Amino acid sequence: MTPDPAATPDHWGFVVAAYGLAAIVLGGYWRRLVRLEREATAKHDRRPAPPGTATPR
Amino acid sequence: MWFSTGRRGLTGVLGWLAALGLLAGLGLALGVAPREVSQGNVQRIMYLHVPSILTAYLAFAIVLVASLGYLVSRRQAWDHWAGSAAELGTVFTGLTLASGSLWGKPTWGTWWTWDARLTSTAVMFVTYVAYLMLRGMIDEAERRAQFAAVLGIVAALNLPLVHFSVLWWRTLHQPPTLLRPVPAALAGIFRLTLGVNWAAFTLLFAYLLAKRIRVGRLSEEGLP
Repeated sequence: MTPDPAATPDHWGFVVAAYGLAAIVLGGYWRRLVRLEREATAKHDRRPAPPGTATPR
Repeated sequence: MWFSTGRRGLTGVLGWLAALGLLAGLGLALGVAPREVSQGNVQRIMYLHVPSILTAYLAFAIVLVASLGYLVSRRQAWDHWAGSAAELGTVFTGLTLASGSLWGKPTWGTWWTWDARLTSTAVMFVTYVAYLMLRGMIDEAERRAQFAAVLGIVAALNLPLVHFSVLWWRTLHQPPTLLRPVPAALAGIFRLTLGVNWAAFTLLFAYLLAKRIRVGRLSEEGLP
């Protein structure tokens, strides 16, 4: 027997909570990576050039 | 390979493709796909839950291959791949557990039960958290890569157990929808929605992995 659709509760709250949580977790992780990449690039660019490769003024 | 050589343009394209895929997947999951007859709207969580665990499997398979690659070649690039994939796999496993719990409460009447699938997934999550902690505890790059590679291989032994637990034991969790010996009978729109979300999650994973590998490589090169 096919259940009556009206008899099954909506449960949209659980659906929104699941998708909202995923958005927060994945969005937060992405933002963290962007920040780490910016910091690492800045640190990488500030490194002193290896001996013999410096451009003379 | 462009993943590890810092080709930011290609990574950006991957990011945009992932974003478009996720938007399409979200539209299908919450708008186009019909309300499932027996579970109601809560079944829509499956379009998030199933792609999450499949992405986690992919991530942990990469950890296994990269760990073997490191032990054979001793090249640091393999270790960057393993560490980055493990971090992402842990994030996606966490999402799987959380979304499964949010689906389980209205469907089973409980947030959590110690059945074979849930328990083995929780063990997998804790194992990779331990893997990441191990990596964080060792400063010397070569020793860290060596210990992590061994744990990365041992941890992968649990993967078949997680996936096939629902076929090997009697569990509350239903059998797998995808990656099963006999394909499941799934109506077209449900299959399409699941497929689009799976593809979008895979693209997102590839994008985040490329970014994470780049961060790891730049951090290591930036060390004094």
